[in-house]
Order: sequence, then structure tokens, then C-alpha cells
Amino acid sequence: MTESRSITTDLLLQIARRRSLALDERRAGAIRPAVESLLGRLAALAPGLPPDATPPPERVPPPSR
Amino acid sequence: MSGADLAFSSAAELGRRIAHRQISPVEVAQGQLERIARLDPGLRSHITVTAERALADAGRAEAEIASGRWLGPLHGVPLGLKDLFDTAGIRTTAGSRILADHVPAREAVASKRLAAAGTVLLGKHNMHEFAYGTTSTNPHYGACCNPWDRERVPGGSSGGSGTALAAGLCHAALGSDTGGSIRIPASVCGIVGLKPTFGRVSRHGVWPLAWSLDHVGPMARTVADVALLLGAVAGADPEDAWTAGEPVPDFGRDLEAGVQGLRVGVPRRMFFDDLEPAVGAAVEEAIALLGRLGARVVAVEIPRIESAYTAFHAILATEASAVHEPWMRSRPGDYGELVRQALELGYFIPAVDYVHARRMQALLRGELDQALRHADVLVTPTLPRTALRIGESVSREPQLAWNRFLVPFSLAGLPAISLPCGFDGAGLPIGLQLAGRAFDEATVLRAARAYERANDWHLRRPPGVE
Repeated sequence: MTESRSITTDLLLQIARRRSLALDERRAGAIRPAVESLLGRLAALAPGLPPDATPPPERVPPPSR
Repeated sequence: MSGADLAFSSAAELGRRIAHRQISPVEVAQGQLERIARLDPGLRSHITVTAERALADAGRAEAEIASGRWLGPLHGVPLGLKDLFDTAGIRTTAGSRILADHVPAREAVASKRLAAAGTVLLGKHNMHEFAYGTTSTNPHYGACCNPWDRERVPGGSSGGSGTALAAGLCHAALGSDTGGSIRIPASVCGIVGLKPTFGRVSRHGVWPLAWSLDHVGPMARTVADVALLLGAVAGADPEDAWTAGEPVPDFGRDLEAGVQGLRVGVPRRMFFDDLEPAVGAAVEEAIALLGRLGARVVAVEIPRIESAYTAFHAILATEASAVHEPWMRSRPGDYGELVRQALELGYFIPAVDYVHARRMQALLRGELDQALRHADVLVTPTLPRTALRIGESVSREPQLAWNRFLVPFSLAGLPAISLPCGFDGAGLPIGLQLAGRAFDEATVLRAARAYERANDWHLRRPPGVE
């Protein structure tokens, strides 16, 4: 399921400026659909995470038997 | 044995002949360099050919073997490295314009270990720019071609290694795999590629794409060769804190043990959706064959599998953009357009979403671990289709991305191999993916070898590379 999470070109430009990235309006417009798609999918993913789900340890543990 | 037969012999067979002094490693290296000079202009699998180093390595190997100092089964065997492994004194570009003149002072640990095994370095392989893509259509060093159809990509990002192996331009290679970059070229070039367990092989001296997902692994034309290479490079490394202290077994020991009694799990959900018909037929036949060879085929469930690609994409994009932030500020115009766009995207993922993606990574790891309590290996198609045309667009949407069957094992850090399992109607190779438990590459290799032994897919050669 994909949830829409819209983002304006202006916001992309603002964030880029804050990070000193060379993003102009044309480039921001070009990546905007991909950004919206990924943010939408991430928004849909979060509610399915149980509260006790943590990020993984740095190393892969040996398999449980 | 003809020059081409020698070029296409397995690394293990070549190593045996060199060890028994039936053939000179110098002559082998010279022959391979001649093939590269003749065939590579039409394939573009190399960024740098290291002829001087190759002949020096080969001369040293010959002298060592002659004086009774045999270093093992890879002694004198010529190979290539994806051009993101640091090689001291030899330029390492990572397929980029930014590092076009970069000559590292240090050697990657994996490369050092291969050199200690007596291998001969023929060259540095072409790749997707900074490993951030799956085609190896490189805007700076030329589009690498698939030897089975030169209008098509060899996959990526370790595409030069896939091409060089399929065209008989080396006997083995070392690649890296973040979301399929070893297994994609293996599948579409008709060779064998293994992404080992996360932490099995040091990444010190390897240009990073995404720290939480990057793996180093072997590529070759046979399962046994991949096992040999893995044995040479695996093991803890104090320079890479993410490597594990798990013991390194002899990966060749049980290679011929077969699959009698082995449980082969088939995760039907997601992994078998929207396959090209030829891919579906080849993989179903492969599963049936594993059953006929004595494996017990069982169904397994991975409940959150549909979330894998999104979690992967968020982690990849965020970490890659962090890696490249200094150059994205100072030299954005030196990136190829597609890689620049992919890097730009990463700056707009909120930190909270990145953490959610990492939490999902841990959940998926647990679900795959659970599935692997009911099965010894999992079997899936490597890719939903055969090689893309050069210039064909590549989607990063979960239902369309051609690496969507690979990223679950990248996220979970589990070992996964791709090996040939057939050809489509156009003569393009099809890959079979086998994945296993953490640090149990031996069982993955054993199952892969049992399948390989029952077929001759891996012995076929592309046209025009004699």
C-alpha cells in the first residue's frame, strides 16, 4: 500500500540550500516524483512496526536453531 | 587445449595445471592479456589493464612454484578486481570521473589476501559509477556490454567483472554487492556470483556505497571457483570493525555432498510475481530438479517481504548521500546524471524514516531467520527477467525494480548465490538464486554445486569470444 506524502519543489530547494547542495528548480522538479514515492512508501511502512522493533545490531548474529 | 579452452577453463583446473607445472602462469597471463587487447575494445569490461603487474605477479608465481613454495590452489591464477578495490600504486576510479586520477597508497584487505594466495592481477573492471546502479552503463568509461548480446547490459554494479568472466578475459573476479551488484551480473552474464554473509569479508579499502548493506564477494564461472575465492578472502579483519569473528570453514569440503535430505524452501510470495515466462519456466524446472536430486522442497513464508524494497531503498539512498555529501557540494557536475539524481534523493529522507527502515531491516532479518528454521536454503529467481537493453530505464519502484528479489538478502545480510539455470528464447542467460543461513555459505555452495553438476548451463560460451 502506498500512502501519498506530497512535497513541494520549494521545500526541496529550501532543504538543498540548507545543506549547500546545488539543486535548481529543474533538478528539484525532476526528482520530486521519486522523493514523494519513497516518502509515501516509508509513511505506509512505519505503522506496521511493532514498538519493540529495534534497528539491527552492527554484526549479523549466527542463526538461531 | 586451445587458447580459448584455456581461457574458459575453471580457476580450479587452471590452478591444478599450474601447480603441476603443466603450464606456465606467465604464458597464461600473456594469453589473457592478448585476449583482453583483442576482445575488450568491443566489450569495455576493463577501466585499467594492469599488464605490467600481471606479468610480474605471474613471473613471481612461476619462480615460487618452481622452488617448491606453492601457495595454494589459486597460485598463478589470473583475475580481475572491480575498480573500487584500492590497489596500491594502481589507479582506482570507482567508475567515476571524480576519482579518475586517484592512485591509492594502500591495498584493500581483500585484494591483499588474494595476492597472498598467489593470484595474478590482470586489471580493474568497469562498473556502475560509484557502484550506485545496476547496469554498468558508465558515462565516463563507456557502457559495458553483455557478451551474450552486446546491445544489452551486463548488469551491475559489478558489470565489468560479469562481462570479463563470460568472455573468458579472467578466471575469477572480486565484486561488491549492496543490493544485488554481484548477483545481477552473475544472472545476466551466465556466471556464478556469491554475496557472502555480512561481515564475512573485509571491506577495508573498498569504496563504500552504503555501510549497512555493502558486501564484498567472489565471482567466477563455477561454484567450486567461487568457494575457492571465498576461502581466500574470508575472515575477521581488525581494520573493518563490521567483520565477524566466525570461524572460516573449508568451503570446498562438502561441495560434492549433494542435496539428498536437504530442505529447499520456496518463498512463493513476491519472489515469483511478474516473471518473464522463460525465467519462470527455468526456475520451476530448477526447483523440480533439486527435488529429483533428493532435496525436500518446502513452502516458506516471509510475512513482511513486501516492505523489503522500501526499507532497502531508504537505507541505501540515505547512506550513499552521506558518503557523497562533500563532492555533492563541491563537484556535483562531475557525476553522471542518473547517479547524481539518485544521490540528490537521499537528502530528503527524514532521519526518523531512516530509523524506521533500519527497524524493518531487523524485522526482515528475523523473518528470514525464521524461514530458515524450516529450510536449509531458499530458492528464488535471481531476477524477474533477462538482460536489459543498454539505455533502457531502470525503475526503483518496488514492484518494478529488477533487483527486487535480491534486496531481502542484502538487508538481512544472509549469504546468497546466483548461478546459471537456463537461457531464454533469445539466448540470454537466466539466473537461479539460492540463499542460506548467516555464516552457512557452505550449505548454499553445496546446494548450488549439486544443481550445477546436473546441468551444463555453466559450460556454454557466448558467441564471438573464441
